[in-house]
Amino acid sequence: MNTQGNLLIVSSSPHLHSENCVATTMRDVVIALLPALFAAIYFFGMDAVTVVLTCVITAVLSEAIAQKIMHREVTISDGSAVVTGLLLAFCLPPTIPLWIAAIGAAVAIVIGKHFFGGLGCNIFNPALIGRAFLVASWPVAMTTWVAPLGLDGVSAATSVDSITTATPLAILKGGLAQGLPSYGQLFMGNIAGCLGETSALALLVGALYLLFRGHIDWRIPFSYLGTVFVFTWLIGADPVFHLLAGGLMLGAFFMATDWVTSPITKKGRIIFGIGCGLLTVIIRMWGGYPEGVCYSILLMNLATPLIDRYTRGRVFGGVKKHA
Amino acid sequence: MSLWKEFTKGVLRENPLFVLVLGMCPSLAITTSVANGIGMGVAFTGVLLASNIVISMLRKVIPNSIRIPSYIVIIATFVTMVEMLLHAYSPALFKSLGVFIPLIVVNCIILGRAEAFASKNGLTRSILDALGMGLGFTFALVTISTFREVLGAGTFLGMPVFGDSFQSALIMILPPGAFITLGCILAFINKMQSMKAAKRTMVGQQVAQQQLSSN
Amino acid sequence: MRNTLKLGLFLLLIAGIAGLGIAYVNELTQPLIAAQQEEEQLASLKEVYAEAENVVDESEQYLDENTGSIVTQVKVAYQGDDPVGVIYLVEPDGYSGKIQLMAGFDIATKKMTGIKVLSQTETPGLGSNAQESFFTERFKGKTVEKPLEIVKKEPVDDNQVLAITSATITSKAVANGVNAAREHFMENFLQ
Repeated sequence: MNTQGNLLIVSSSPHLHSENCVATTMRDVVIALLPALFAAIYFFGMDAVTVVLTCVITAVLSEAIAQKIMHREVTISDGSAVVTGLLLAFCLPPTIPLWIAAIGAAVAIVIGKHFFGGLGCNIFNPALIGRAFLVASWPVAMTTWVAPLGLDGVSAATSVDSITTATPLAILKGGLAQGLPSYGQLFMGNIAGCLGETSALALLVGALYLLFRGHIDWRIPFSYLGTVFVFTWLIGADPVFHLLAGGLMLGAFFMATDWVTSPITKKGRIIFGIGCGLLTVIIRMWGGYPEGVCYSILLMNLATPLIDRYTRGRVFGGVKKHA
Repeated sequence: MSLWKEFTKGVLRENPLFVLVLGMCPSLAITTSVANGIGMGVAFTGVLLASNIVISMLRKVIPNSIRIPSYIVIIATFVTMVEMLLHAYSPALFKSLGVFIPLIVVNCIILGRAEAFASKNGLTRSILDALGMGLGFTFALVTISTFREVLGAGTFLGMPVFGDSFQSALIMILPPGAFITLGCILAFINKMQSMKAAKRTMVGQQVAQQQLSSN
Repeated sequence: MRNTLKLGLFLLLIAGIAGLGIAYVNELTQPLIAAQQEEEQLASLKEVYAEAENVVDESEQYLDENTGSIVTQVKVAYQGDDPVGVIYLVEPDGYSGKIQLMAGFDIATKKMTGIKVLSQTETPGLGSNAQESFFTERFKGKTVEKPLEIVKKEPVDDNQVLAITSATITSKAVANGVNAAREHFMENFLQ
């Protein structure tokens, strides 16, 4: 949230002062996502490029069409649809059929965003709505993973048959006869998984940029990651593995921090992050799915208004109410 | 109100599901296939018709202070009968509707019609009301389940409607699909009605202006 | 006081008439429902063992309650006085909870005659496919000599079964259940 220091805020979120502000922050978010995009292209080749392009183009087109139909001002130039499309593409498997990716992007924008009133009014993170819709609709396509191309730099063109495999979390959950990847592999992103979630390194570089530019508040990602670390350590799981595997880095820095769907108070953000962390670990350890980042953020999105209400700052100088 | 209007009001103008937004629970839960929608609609209409008839006939006998328990006993009786009959003669449908047949007892549309209509109106009107409401409810269920079955399973009444390459969106026959479908339909109906209302006020204004200018 | 009594009696009257009505319909439908349930049970037994005409539940004889085995029922199909097949009810642990399934074996041919999933809570669209016929068909006619194995590519051996796409864990759970039944069958019926 770019509150520009000590401005007095009285309206509901987001507190944007001009269209230009949306556009520049969105531009910064896209810049922050670039390292992860490059990592995705490096590890998954042309598949990554086509999926990302499909999602971004569909998202922008759906935004324009939805706004035209609803007689709203067409605001595709502010870049928020681009970010949604990009984030959605990042949480899709590389081999996803393009028409499924396109439906996901359209659902994210139309149902996730414009049905609720457009930018700033959506309750849920649109990209995650798109992902949740796709997971429930085409579970097979959404859980078919391919091994990354490897660090030796084999280009996508030469590898005709991609090898299907399982994500590290699925290996852990299912007790499959397949070794878990090393921390190094997890950190670099040389693992099976969604396009943009595999490389913790690339995501951290982008996150640092956003933190440095003041677009995201450290409270949400750090309380989120911290909770996951402590909780998994307490129950005897491998905390480092759980931090690096799956979509946690992507979710904590780029999705949980969405200004529209996260609390505006400082205390509220910490509660939000802790809630996300607890839910993620609970789903990962005892839930029906191997990964819980998507659902935990969506669930906490739902709790955001409540958190805001109970962590609202006290109004000084008011008269105490008598019971 | 004419008898014909008494019948048609339940179908569109006062559609129990789309306009009054009553009886949501079974409507969301069982509309996974068109066959279910029709089955539920018919079972519901049967119960509503029978309960409306009996309550309308007894409306002067039932003491006011215990009318609600009386209605519930009457409704529950018919629901139990319908449940047994379905179990005996249509076990497949009985199985797929499951717990939602006994739950017709607490379907607020039926008690609502008993309280709001049958207890105040004569036999003929109550029958027409029940048939109209039943038809409207069935129509609404079939509409929702058509969307859900076609998109979610790629079939209509069990017959495939797309080619083999079609991969259905499973979410549509899962619970979220019910909410998405119903939400879209309600939005569409509200839009239609607000457009109609806008047109009416515009026509009204024009008429008023003409009258003003002619004066 | 008198008014309360009157109201109570009125409700009693309504409930009494309702009860009579329900009793009448019950009388009418009960035999039909009973016949249907019997037929249904026989039909599902037949799905896993085609010659299931005279089936006796012999769980007490064959199962020890305290062993913690996932085999929960043993039913033996007779032809005349001779047992010809066995139908098992097993409850292996699936991906998200117990899977309840029946498995049928033929004594003469030493082969599996079929399986049927009775209840499951697996992920919709993935593991829930275990109850679809395309998957259960894969178990038909498998030998009981060797434990079943779940494979991800087209099976080459007689004891291999192709997994459901993206639901290897569920497939394995089903195979585990069938294998438990198979072991019991080998020990008790193939001497």
